[in-house]
Parts: sequence; structure tokens; C-alpha cells
Amino acid sequence: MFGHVFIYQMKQLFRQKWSIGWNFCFPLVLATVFFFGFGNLIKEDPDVFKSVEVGYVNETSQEDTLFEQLLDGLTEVDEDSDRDNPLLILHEMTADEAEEKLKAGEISGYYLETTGADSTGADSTEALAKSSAKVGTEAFTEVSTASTETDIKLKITENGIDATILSQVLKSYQNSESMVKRVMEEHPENIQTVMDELTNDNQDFISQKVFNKNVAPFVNYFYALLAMASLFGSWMCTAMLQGMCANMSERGKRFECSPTNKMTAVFAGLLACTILQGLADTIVILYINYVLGIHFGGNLLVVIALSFLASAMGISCGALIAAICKSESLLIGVPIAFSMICSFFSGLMVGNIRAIVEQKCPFFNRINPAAVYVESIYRFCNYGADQKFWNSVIIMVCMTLGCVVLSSLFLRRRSYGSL
Amino acid sequence: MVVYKALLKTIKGKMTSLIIYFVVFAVFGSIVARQNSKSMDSMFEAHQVVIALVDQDDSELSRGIAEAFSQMDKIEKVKASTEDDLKKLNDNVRFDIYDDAILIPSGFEANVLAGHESGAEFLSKGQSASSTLMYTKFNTFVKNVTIYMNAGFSETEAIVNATDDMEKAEPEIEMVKANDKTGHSLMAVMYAFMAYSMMMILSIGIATIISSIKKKDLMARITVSPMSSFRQNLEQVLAITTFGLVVLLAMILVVCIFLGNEADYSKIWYYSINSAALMVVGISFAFFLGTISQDEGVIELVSNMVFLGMSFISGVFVTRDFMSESVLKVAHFLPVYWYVSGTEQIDTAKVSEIWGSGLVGSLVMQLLFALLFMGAGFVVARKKERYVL
Amino acid sequence: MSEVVVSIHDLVKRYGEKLAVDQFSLEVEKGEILGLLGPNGSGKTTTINCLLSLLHFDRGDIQIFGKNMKPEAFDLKKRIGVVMQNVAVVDTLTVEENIDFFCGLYVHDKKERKQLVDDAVEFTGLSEHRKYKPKKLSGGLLRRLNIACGIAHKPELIIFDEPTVAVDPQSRNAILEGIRKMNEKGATIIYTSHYMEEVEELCSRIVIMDHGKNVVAGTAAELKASLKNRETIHISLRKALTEEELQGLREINHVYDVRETKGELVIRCDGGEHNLVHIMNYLEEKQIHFGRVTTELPTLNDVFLEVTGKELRD
Repeated sequence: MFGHVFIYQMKQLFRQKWSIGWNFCFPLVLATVFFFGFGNLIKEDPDVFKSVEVGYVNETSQEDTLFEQLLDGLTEVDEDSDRDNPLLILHEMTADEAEEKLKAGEISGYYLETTGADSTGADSTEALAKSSAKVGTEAFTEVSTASTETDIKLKITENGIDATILSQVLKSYQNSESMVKRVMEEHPENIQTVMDELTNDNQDFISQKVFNKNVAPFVNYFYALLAMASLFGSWMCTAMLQGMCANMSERGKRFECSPTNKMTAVFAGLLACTILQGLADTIVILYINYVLGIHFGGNLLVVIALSFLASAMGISCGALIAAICKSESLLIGVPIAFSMICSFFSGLMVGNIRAIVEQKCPFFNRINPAAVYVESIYRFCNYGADQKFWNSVIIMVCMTLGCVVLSSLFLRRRSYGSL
Repeated sequence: MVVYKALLKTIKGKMTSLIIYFVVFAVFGSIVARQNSKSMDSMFEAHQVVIALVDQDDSELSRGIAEAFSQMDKIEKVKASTEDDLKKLNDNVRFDIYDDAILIPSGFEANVLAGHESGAEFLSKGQSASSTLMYTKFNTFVKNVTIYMNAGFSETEAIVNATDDMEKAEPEIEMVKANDKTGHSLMAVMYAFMAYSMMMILSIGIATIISSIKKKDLMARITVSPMSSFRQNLEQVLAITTFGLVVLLAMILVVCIFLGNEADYSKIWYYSINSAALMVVGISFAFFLGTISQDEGVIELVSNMVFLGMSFISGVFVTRDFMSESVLKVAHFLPVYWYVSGTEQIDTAKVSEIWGSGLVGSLVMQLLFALLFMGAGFVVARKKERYVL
Repeated sequence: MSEVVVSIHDLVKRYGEKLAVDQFSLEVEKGEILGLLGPNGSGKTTTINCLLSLLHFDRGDIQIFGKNMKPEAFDLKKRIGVVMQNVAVVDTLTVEENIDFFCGLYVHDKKERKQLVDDAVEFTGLSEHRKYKPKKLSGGLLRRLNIACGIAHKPELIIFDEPTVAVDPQSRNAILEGIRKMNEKGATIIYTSHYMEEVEELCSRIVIMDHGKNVVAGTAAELKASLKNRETIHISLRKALTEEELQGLREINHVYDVRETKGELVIRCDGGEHNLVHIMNYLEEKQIHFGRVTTELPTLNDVFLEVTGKELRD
């Protein structure tokens, strides 16, 4: 009996045009669209730091000012540093050129150094002889000649991280100036120590902690896509159950008149749906991994196994929906709505929505099947099979069993109040 | 207006689906608008990063660091004692809840003063710009403190001096107006996001109307009635147009409600005209779809595939800055691309210069697409009639 | 006395305030074809659904093959076949697959089932359409498929719920012929329909339901005999009759009702075998000129209309 119903359910499901469309084609189409839409994100991670393009205009009487030397130092990569590229890419130019390039967006900003209003030219102090701001690069070489004070202005077109970095460079330079002045005033005997230390680059007081396996953040969209695909199984299930319940269709009436154990038949149907949905998910996973070349970051077999579990979860949710909803339009509308809403809140449209929900209302992430599934893949691919991964797996199993048990309570009846 | 009223009533059956797409637009649209918008400023404002700080040292130096950073950035002190806590913190950084996280271990101050490895670490998304900035500031501050201390100042004095230096440093910064800057204002981002939801709602609703008109028996019943074909067609067109306008107005209302006083409303009419052009595209596409198939499942499937796909590669969900040239070239053949272009043109231009900004071109392109879909729909309908009757 | 296959005793079923079946009782003997007639809303389908344990009922007793019928009475369900009012087949399976699927719910043995499926296909005349899907079948063929799915397992009791709705005359004849053959092979049949001539032709016994009650039961001949009106004579007149002449007609033996409307005389007789002769003689005697004369014997439709009332129900 189980086998008989199972085989025929598989035949029916494979021949449903719309189930092939939604469950097989739609995720593939969407994955392809993601691939093209994210395009450059795949080739170049936007979170990788790009050196800031900056101009420098020297309108002082000095050829090589301290500040210019500082900037030169920041165009080199410190071997000991974690950075792969220098902080700045410096372009020396005239003021007109700088203004033009700035407006055209070729540089993020430029420094204009002019002779300071208070500068006497003849007076010299050694205080500002060697100053640098330590920013993880090799320091410039000291200049022994006395400096004249200069005015430095930064010009930018828009606020943002690049502008802030450029202002920070200038601030660091000004910090060093203040420090030297202060030491000169209060502990002039130690000025040499200060100079020596200012020029010492070999100190990093903080380093980057790399936690995960560097799986690119945009891959989260693909996890959310898989979650959506798995939940699509819910309406495959509602359609299947319509043929087994007398209060849902004429076929259902015929079925319930037969000497068949209804729950055996329902489980056979659920298994058929789960296998079909799992197969659809597997195809999507293989397509994303091998055809589009997007690697999930974890063992593919585990990812496939998780997708089968998620399919079972989606199918069981569909069973519960079918057990509760009677009207035909609800049996189409509710599973679609359920799948899309859960998927949206797992990161299908706004990549970090799951993290935002985790901050504001973590309980919702525990009951949203799509979010639980995405969490399990994310944990596995980024941190391995840790405790939270297993928690997510357990939640998925509990959701599946819970939905199956609850729906069985409704579905097992064979006699109705009205038809 | 019997046909008109009857057709509008057929949409009631799809209310659940339509409301869902509305809610998606309202909720996600406002989230995305707030995340992705950036204003064209006239004054420099330092980019404020949100940094999570785990201070297990609780020393004068670590507190000094927190104090110094809080002048410029937003510092949130968090506890992270277990591996799981650290992973959660890492996730929050990856998903932009925080820009970075600083981990100051116990013994940090002692190690710094002794000249040993400090043990401090930071979490960030790869080697991001914000982490570079944070890294720079952190090193500068701690180095300055150690230099002050080596110069003879006490720890407290050193921290105060270093903090004071950071506070006092006020570089002269001037904002220059650029040639061609894209602003991405709140209103622009939310209107761009409207594309997907509006197209889906129009597609499902209007395709429902059209597929109900096409039902053979119903068609026959209407045809044998004394109502002229002109009147019948007119009422059908009116029903469809009414639905489209109601949807458009409702979405504009949603924009106003969810953005409230945060947004600038000086250009709202232009955005709405652009959206009206997209509405026409949506209506004609729905007409085309309704003539091809009367199956609700097929309509919803095709609509989702087409509009989600179009939205992703036209810059609705992911900004065009991230897209490759070749993808953008293909996107030129999609109506939603021209809608998003229109939104950007409105956003970038001054109010008095909007019509000269290229908006007219974008509107024309959208209307051309609308004509194309309408024409295709008529051709299909004609062919179907020939074979059925 | 024949074995009683179906026994329904004082069945009561309510839908909220509405009493759908009101102490309905029925017995079906083995080998008979019982026709269950009633206007729309009389409770036929509700009774059938209660009989099949698809609906739970408020009061009463239902036994099939001498045992209480329950939803889990699989041993009884195995012996019952149902042909639904609406076509109940799977659109994505072929004709053969549909029959095999539904037969498989009753018969587990593959070999046996294969034979049964072939027999059902042959029996319902679907041999040339085995590989077709339901969408490609005409209305008549679809109904035959519907029947095949219900009887493939060769049940002892078959319930037909209006199986010939919207079916062309040729297919209908084939279906009726098939039902007769099944009955000849020993199946007991409960048959519901609105087509009186079908029921009259097919059924050995007829039960008429109305407002959930068993109004009248018997063979077709018994039911007709229960009518007052045994013969109706229509005579077209050239000119209207006088009251005296009409009264004269009323006095003829067995004539109980005489009406004249728009040039037609309608005379109803409650018995007698030569009513027409007597009436003709009277008209000739009175020199009343007449045209066309037709005579009708009562039909089941007359029985139905008389016991259920002439108003059009929902």
C-alpha cells in the first residue's frame, strides 16, 4: 500500500507542470539572476580595502615638506602589517589639476599645503623636525632642517569613509605636532625619546582576528535562495493532500471511501514530496557550486543533507497548512505567502535582515523555518559543526516532527461534519 | 458600469497575495532605504562607525581608548566571554550590525606598558575601509599614550593628553561640489524599491481581471448582452486603469507614511510621474501575461521569475555600483532599468533642472516597452481567437 | 427472503439548524438495483455520504453486509465501489494509470490487479484510450473513466451518484448497459439520478426522498398504481364547450377531472380500460367537433411530481 501510493504520488508530482516550474526552474533562474546581479561582488569583494586616491598640492616654498614626506610614507605597504595594499595612492599635481580631478571623481580628495600665515621663515625650531603618524607603514626618513609652519587644507566632494581616512591622516599629523609641542613645553629633556619613538613603525597594538573561513558575505543570498526553494515544497504538499481528503476534493472522497490506511498513504505522499523537493534543491546546489562557481564554503554533501532536512520541514509545514485551511484559494495563497515571507526574513532581499531580527527579536529567527535553515548552513560553512549548528538542526527536526504530528491529528479523521 | 464593477470584484479573490506584496514593499523598502541612502552634504562630517568594544582588561588605558573613540564613533560595550559570544559578535560585524569590534583582553595595559604584544584584536569584514580607519586610530592613540609616558608623563596624564590631542586636532576641510554625483536619497531608494512590488501587484491583479474576461462562457454571456463592444472594452480598460491607479496611489502613500519627515518631498511629483510610467508598463505586461495563460499558478510563477530577475539586474535590490558593465548593458533591454535610471536622474538633478536631466528619455523608454507588451498581447489574443472559434 | 445488503434505520443528520435527513430508513436486498430519487436538497447525497461513513450523523444505524459501517471498517469498504457525481480522477495520470491507482487502493496483488484493470478498461469501452490523459477525453468518456475507477475491483455493492450527468445519449446507453451487466453478475446497486426514464428502465425498486424523508417506495408499477391519475386524455376542440357539456363529461365513469384551456380539453381518469371510447361516444352524441386526440399513461415523473409537489426547489 505504502509503495503503491508512493509510486503514484511521485508520478503525479513529476507530471505537474507548475511544480516543476516553481520547484525546479524558479530557483535556478533566481540563482542565475543573483549571479549576474552580484557580478562584481563575486570578482572583487567590495569589503576589501582599496587604497584611497588622493592628490597633493604643494604651494609652499619648500620642495619636500614634512607632511609630504608623511604622505609618501603612507603610500608604501608595511611588510609586518596585515594590509595588502597601502593606505594612500598619492598624486602630486597643481591646484587646478587637483580641483578638476576631484570634481571628476578621479581622486577622493586632495591636500593643499600652503605657507602658514604665522610662518617667519627665518625662525627655526627643531621641534617639528621629525614627526610622523604611525599608521602601519614604514616611516619617512627624518628631516633635520628646521621646518616652517604650513597650513594644510583638505578638500573633498562628499562625506564617507575615504574622506574620514584622509581627515584622520591629517589629524594624526596634527596630533604629532601637538605632542611634540607639549613635550617641548613640559619635558624638553625627553624630546629626543619622543622623536625616536615617533619614527618607530614597528609597533602594532592591535591585529585582526580571523574567525571564519572567509566565505564572502554575498553567499548569504544563495543560502536564503535555498531556503526559499525548500519551503516551496509546502504547496506541493497541499496539492498532494487535496487528493486524499474528502473535504477537499472529489478525488479525496474517492480515496477516503477506499480501504486504505489514511496515515500510511499520507506519509507515503509526504515522502514522495520530500524526495522530489530534496532532488530539486540538490540540483540547485550543484548548479550554484559547479556551473556558477559559487562555493558555499562547506562540505557539499552536508549542505545537500541539510537541504533534504529543510525540504522535509517545508513539506511538513505544507501538511499543516493543508490540515488547517480548507478553501482552495487559501491552499494556493497561504503556502506561497508563507514561503516568500519566511524567505524574505532569512535574507533573500536584504542581506543582513536576519542579523537585524536577531538583535531586535531573536525568537522570530527560531520559529522562522527559512531563518533556521540559513543559520544551519551559515554556521556549518563558516564555523564548522558547532553547538549553534546542532541547535539549528535540532530545531528543524523538531519543527518537521511537530508539524507532522499536528497535521496528523487533523488529517487522520475520515468522517466529517460536512463536505 | 456593470462590467467595470464586476471586474474589480474579481480582484478580491487575490487580496491576500496583493497585501503580502504591499507589506514586503513597506517593510523591506523602508529598511533598504535607510541602509542604502546617502545624502549630498555641504559640510564635512566624519564617517561615524559603530564599534563593539569588549573590554576584559578594564584598565585606565582600555577605558581611555573607549573614551577617545567615543568622541568620534559610536561605541557599544558588549560582553563576550565564550567562543559563542565571539562568533555572535563576528556575525554582527559581518552583517553590518557593527562596523568593527575591538577585543581588549585582560592584561592589555600591562603588556602595552611592558612593551610586549598587547593581545588586542579586532573583528571586521575582511580588510574593509572602516577597519583600516579603526586600526589607524587605535594604533595612533595607544602609541601616543606610550610616547607620552616614555616622555615622563604619568599614565593618567598620558591618556588625557592623547585624548586631548585627538579632540583638539581640527583639520581644515572644504567640501567642493562635484560634477556628477549620485546621491541615493531616502526617497530615491524607496521609489526604486517600489519597482518589484508594484509590478508584482499589477501583474497578479490585472492578469486575474484579464483571465476572467477571457473565460469562454463569461465572454459569450457578455457578448450576447445588449451592451456594445465599445462599451464593454471601455469598461474593461477603465477597470484595469482604476486598479493601476489605486495601487500607485497606495504605494505613494506607503512611501510618505514610512519615510515620514525624514525624507525630502520637493521632488515627489517627479518620482510619482516616473512610477506612473512604470505602472503603465506593469499594466501592459500583465495584459500580455493574461492573454498567454489563464492559470493563476502560471501567472504568479512567471511574474515572480521575470520581476525578481529584472529587479536584481536593474539595480532595485543591489545598487548598480556593484554590477559589471556587461550586465548593465543587458539591463538596458529591461523596462525596470529605465525606471531606476529615471529615479537616479530625479535624485541627482536640482528641482528646476529635472526635465533636462534625461528623465524624459527614461519615461519614453518605459512607455515604448509598454507599447511593446501591449502589442504582443494583442497579437497573441488575436491568434488565440482565430483558433478557438 | 433475500439477504439485506444495506440497512439504514432512522438516520438523522443536521447541518447546524437545518435538518438534512429526517429519520430516513432504507433496506437494499442483495442483487437489486435500487433507485434513490429526490429533488435537489432532499438529502440523497447526504444519505449516501453517511452510508459511506464520509459524514458523521446525529442518530440512526447503518449496516452494510450485516455489519455496522464505520470509517475504519476496511473489510466492508473493500466490497463497496463508488461512482461520484463529479468526475474524480487524477489529471496527470493516464486512463490506465487512473484505474490502476484507484484499484490498487483495494487490491494489493499486482497480478490480480492487472487483470482487473484490463477488465475494467474493456468493460467501459476505453480500450482505445488507455494512454490518454483525462483532459483529452470527451465528457462521455470521462464519465466512463469515472465509472471504471469506481468498479475496477469488482465490488459487491456499487453506489452510483448521478453517473450520467451531461453525457450524450450514446454514452448514457453504454453506461446503463454496463450497470445492467454488473447487476447480472451479482452486484447490488444503489442508483441516484434525476433522469426518470433511466431509473424506470433500470431499477427494480425505487425510493423517493423529500425533505430528508422516505416519502414513498416500491417498484415502478406499484408507484404508478398508487397515483390517482391512471390516464390523461388530450382533445383539441374547435369551439369551447358549455358548462353542461363539461359536466356531462365529468359524469362519465372513471373521469375525475375535466379542464378546458385555450382550445384543449384535458380529461383525467382514475381507472378503467376504455375511457377513450366512452369519451368519444359522448362527444359524438353531443355533436361536439374535435381535432387531435392523444392519450397518456402515467410516468414515474408524474409519481415524482405528485409526491414531492410541483414547486421548483433549489
